[in-house]
Amino acid sequence: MKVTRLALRDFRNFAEAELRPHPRFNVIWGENGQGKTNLLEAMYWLSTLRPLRASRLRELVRWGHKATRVDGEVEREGLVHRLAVEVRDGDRRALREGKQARASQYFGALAVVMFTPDDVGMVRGSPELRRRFVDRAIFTGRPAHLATVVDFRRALDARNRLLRESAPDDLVDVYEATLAQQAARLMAARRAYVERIGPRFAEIVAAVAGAELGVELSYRPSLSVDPVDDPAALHAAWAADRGRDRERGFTQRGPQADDLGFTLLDRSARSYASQGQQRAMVLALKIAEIQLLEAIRQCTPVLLLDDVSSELDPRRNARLFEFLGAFEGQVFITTTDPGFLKIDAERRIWRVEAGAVARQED
Amino acid sequence: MAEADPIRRLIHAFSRLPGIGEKTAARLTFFVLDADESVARELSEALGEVRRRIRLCSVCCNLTEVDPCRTCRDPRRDGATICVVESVPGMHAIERTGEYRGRYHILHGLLAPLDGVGPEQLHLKPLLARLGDEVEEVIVATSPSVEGEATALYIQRLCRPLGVRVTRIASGVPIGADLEYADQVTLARALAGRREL
Repeated sequence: MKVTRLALRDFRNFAEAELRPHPRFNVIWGENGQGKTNLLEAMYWLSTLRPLRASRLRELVRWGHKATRVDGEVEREGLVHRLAVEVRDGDRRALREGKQARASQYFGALAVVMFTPDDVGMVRGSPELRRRFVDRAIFTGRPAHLATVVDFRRALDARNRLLRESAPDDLVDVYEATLAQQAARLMAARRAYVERIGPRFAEIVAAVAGAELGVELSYRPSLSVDPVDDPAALHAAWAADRGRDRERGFTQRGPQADDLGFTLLDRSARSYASQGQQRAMVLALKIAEIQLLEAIRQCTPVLLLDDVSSELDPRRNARLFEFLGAFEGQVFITTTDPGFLKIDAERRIWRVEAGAVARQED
Repeated sequence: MAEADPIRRLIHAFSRLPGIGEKTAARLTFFVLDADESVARELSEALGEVRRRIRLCSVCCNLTEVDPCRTCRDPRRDGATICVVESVPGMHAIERTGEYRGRYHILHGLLAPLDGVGPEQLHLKPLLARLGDEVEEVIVATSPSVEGEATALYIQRLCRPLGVRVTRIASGVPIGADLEYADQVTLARALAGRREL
C-alpha cells in the first residue's frame, strides 16, 4: 500500500498542506520544531485513529482553531481508498470513502509501522514501551486486537475501582472472572506474536552483528498460570491476590505489568548489552516486525521513520539503509540533515519550514 | 439577572434531550410556535402524563401504566423462563423476534463500577424474589460488552444457589447480514465462539 495523497487542515502547526508523495522514498527535511514529525503523525493518526504523542485530541488542532482534518488517498492492489479523520467540537470522526465509519470498520486500508527515537530506547526503557510495541505491532496486522486491549483495560479499571471502594467479595469476584476472560485473550495474542517474531528477530540480529551475539526475545507475563493463559487459572490467581490488592488499592499482577525480555547470551540485555548492541536489537526488531507483516499478513506497511538516523551509529545506519533499499514499500523519513540519508534515487524531498511543506526540486 | 424568556427556556429544555443539539432545539421550538396551537397542547399533555402515569411494574420492572404490567398478566406466557434484559428497548427487541414466549425482567442498567453503578442500582432484588418453584431457567440477554458480561456473571452467581438454570444468549455474526460486512471485532469473536457441527 502507498499513500498517494495527504492533505492536512489546521493540524498541529500546519494551517494547510497537501502532498503527493513518491511511491518509494519521501525525505522530510527541516530544522527542529518546524513540523516534520507532525506530518508523520498525520499519517499515523489516519492509519490508527490514535494520536502519536497527544493524550488529548484537542492538542491535534492548530492553536486558536476549533477543528482539524487529515485526508489521505491510499493505493492498495490497484484500488484507491479515500480515508479521512477529523476532530470537530472535541469529537473524532473517521470517514472511509467520505462516509462516516465506526473504528472497527475503518481500519485495514492503511497500515503503518512507525520508528521513533523513543523506540530506540526500548530495550533499556520502561516495560510500558515494550508492551506498547507488542500491542501496536499486533494491531497493525490484526486491527481487532485494539478491542481486546480496550476491553481488558475497562475490566481492569473496574476491578481497581471496586478494590478501592471496598466492594463486597462477590462483586469483585465477578469482575475478576470478566477480567480473566479479557486477559486470557490479550495474553494469548501477545504470546503468539512474540513466539512468531522471536526467531526472525534473532536471525536478523545475527546477520547484523555476527552470529556469536546469541540474542533472544521472550514474553514475560507478569502473571504466569498453568495451563498457560487459561481464564479459570487467571481468575483463581486474582482471587488469591485480592487481599493484598485491596490493601494496595490496585491490581498488581496481570497483563498491565507484562514485559518483553531481551537477553544476550542468557543475560539481560537491559543490563549487559552495550548501547550500540541495544540499538541494533531494536532495529532488528522493527525489521522483523515489517517482515512478519509481509510474510503472514501479505501486507507491506508504509514506514514512518522519525529522525532515527541521528540515533544510530554509522554502521547501524548503513544497515538500516541496506534494509530500506531492499524493502519494496513506501517510506517517509524525517531528518535535520539529508546528508545522513543514503537514498539517491526514487525519492522526493519535502522541505518543512514553520508549518508549511514544499516539494524541493532534486 | 432577568429570567430567560420562554423561547430560550424551551430551546434549552429541548437541547437536554439525547441526540438534539442547540440548532435542532431551536428548530423544534420555532416549529412549535409556528404550528397549530394543538401541537403544543398535545405535546405538553403527553409529557406530563407519561411521567404521571407510567411507573415500574412491581414484578418485572417494565415501564407500565397498570401494575403488574400487561406482559406479566398475560396467562399465555410461559412462567418457567425469565429473560433478563438491560433496558425496556432490549425487551422490545426480543419481543419483536416472536420467538420468545416466556417472561421478562428489566434491570435498568448494567454493573459499571467506573460509572458508579453497583448491584444496588440494578433491579436485582425483585428478580430474586421471582425465582420460586415455577422458574426453571433464567436467560441473560445483556450485550456482549465488558459490563454486559460482568452483569451476566453476577446474575449467574446470584441464581446458582437457588437451583435455577442460567443461560446466556450467543453472540456473533448477525444472520441476514453478509459475512463480508461484519466488522472485524464481531467476526473475531464469532470465530472464537465457534461450535462443532
